Amino acid sequence: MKIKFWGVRGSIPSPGYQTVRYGGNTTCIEVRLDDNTLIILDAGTGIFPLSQTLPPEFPLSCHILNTHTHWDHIQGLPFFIPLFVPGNQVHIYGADDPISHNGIHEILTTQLQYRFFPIREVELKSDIHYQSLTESNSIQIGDATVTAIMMNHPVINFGYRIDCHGKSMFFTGDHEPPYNIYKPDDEEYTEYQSIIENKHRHLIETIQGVDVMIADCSYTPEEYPNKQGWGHGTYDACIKLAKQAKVGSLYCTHHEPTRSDDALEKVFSEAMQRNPRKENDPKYYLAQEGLEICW
Amino acid sequence: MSHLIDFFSYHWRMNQQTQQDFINMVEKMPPFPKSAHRIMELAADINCNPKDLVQVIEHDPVITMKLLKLVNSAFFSLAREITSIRHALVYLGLNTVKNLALSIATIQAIPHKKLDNFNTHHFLLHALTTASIAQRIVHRFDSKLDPGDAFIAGLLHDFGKMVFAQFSPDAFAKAIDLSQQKQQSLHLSEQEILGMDHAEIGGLLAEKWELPQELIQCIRNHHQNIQTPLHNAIFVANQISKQLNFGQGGNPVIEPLPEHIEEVLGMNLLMFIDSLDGLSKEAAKAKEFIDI
Ligand SMILES: [Zn+2]
Ligand SMILES: [Zn+2]
Repeated sequence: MKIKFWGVRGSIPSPGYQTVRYGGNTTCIEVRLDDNTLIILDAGTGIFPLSQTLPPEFPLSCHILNTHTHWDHIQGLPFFIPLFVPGNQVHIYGADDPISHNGIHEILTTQLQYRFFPIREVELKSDIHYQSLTESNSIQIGDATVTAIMMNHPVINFGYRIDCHGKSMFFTGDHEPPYNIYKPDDEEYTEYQSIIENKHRHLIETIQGVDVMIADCSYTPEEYPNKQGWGHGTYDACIKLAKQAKVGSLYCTHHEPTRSDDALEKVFSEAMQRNPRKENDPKYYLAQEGLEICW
Repeated sequence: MSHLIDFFSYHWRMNQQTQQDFINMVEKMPPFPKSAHRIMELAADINCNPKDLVQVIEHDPVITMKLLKLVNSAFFSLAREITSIRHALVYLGLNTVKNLALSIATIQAIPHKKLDNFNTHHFLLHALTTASIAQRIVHRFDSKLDPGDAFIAGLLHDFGKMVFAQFSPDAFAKAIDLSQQKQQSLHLSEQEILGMDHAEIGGLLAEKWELPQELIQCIRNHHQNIQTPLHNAIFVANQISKQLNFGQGGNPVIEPLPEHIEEVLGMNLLMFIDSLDGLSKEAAKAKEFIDI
């Protein structure tokens, strides 16, 4: 399996000299199975540079897994070059929105409204296939099994686990660990806590033992209290989860758009100091645009 | 009281008896469910305390039961069974639970009882499909509008018909017949036969229910040529629901889109319907929602 990061930034593209090392594009991760089958996790602006490498593979068949439909995870989709070229097969997967009943097929329709974008959906010449996913139905993509799990974000957000020939990876998408809405002396506190722990166990079971976990580490623990409820995680929560699930390595991503490269390295090394690595602990890394993991 | 005075002066030509009848009708309608009101308030408050939301929902056994049925339905196909509102909150997140509760609570507000001459089920289906289509398309008109508001406005836009159907069923049936014969919009037939149309009386009802001002205006004006984004979304959704025969609200006339709306959409009604994928599933989903 091979993974390459094309976008590691949260919320909004953040180009500029202060983000040049880690990159300013929003979420996009290229995953290659051993037979070179292409799976793309999210279509943030990072999908545009990725798509520029693809023409040699045309006619191409590829699979885009969308964690959720917030802008920073779909913004690059209308610029995904394979969509425009006849003969290509683009499969797009994701959750239906239970509130608006908008299906996953509507991402593009919404993005390509003529007021916002000069190209109409009918002008996309590739074969586009949509598939709605649910938590309890794993799907096959080539030799890989893809399992979705409901994470916690203001919209439905799926985390995806990909398993193929004994290798595995997991991506959270955007995720804030659910917190107890009651105070410790409220009588509902204990019950709520046990529900949270149950859900957490389910998450650990799903992630259990993956080689690579890529997770939303937007905030430091000091920043978090002011951002509670925004749907993003912290370094420390992800490190804890990675340990509990006994993953091989954790890649921290969804970097805050306002964090410069230097600031990013600083908060990361502080997180490492708070959570010193012991033997058999996962290895910890910052996700970086262009970084490749091959195993 | 001032709205009633406006209403009197506007309808000065009608005889006193009829005006009083309408007011009595509206007064006799059941109140808007308290829990729906509370959930609306909480949903409008971005800093809403999750504890309050849980409490409101848990205190309404019907909403609780329906919400649990829905999250455990095939639509979600969750890996675990959700057994309580708190469980749903942990599993699906605050926002999703809030919006689901809001939809369920508002649908609860519609009287479900059987009426002569008027098929409540078909009416509900029209209201609900209009609601979900409006919610789906509202961002074409203003990307800042809350889709939840469009849902509620769509759901309640024809509520006035329920007042007529309950308290003046014969005259209302006549109005529906007249619209069929003359192929004219139902609100015109209502004005001819009842002296008031469902938009107007729906507006009065919305006032009695103390719904938000914007919603009241949207219900009252939904047959008028007013160009607010919310109004446009409801108007288009209403025509789509009728065009595709999703349920039946008694109005046989499908209005063409006014020019300013075609301009925003970049196409006419039929082309727009074509461009929206999965509309045929909409009615099925709405049915599921009503039956829950
Ligand atoms: Zn994001
Ligand atoms: Zn997001």
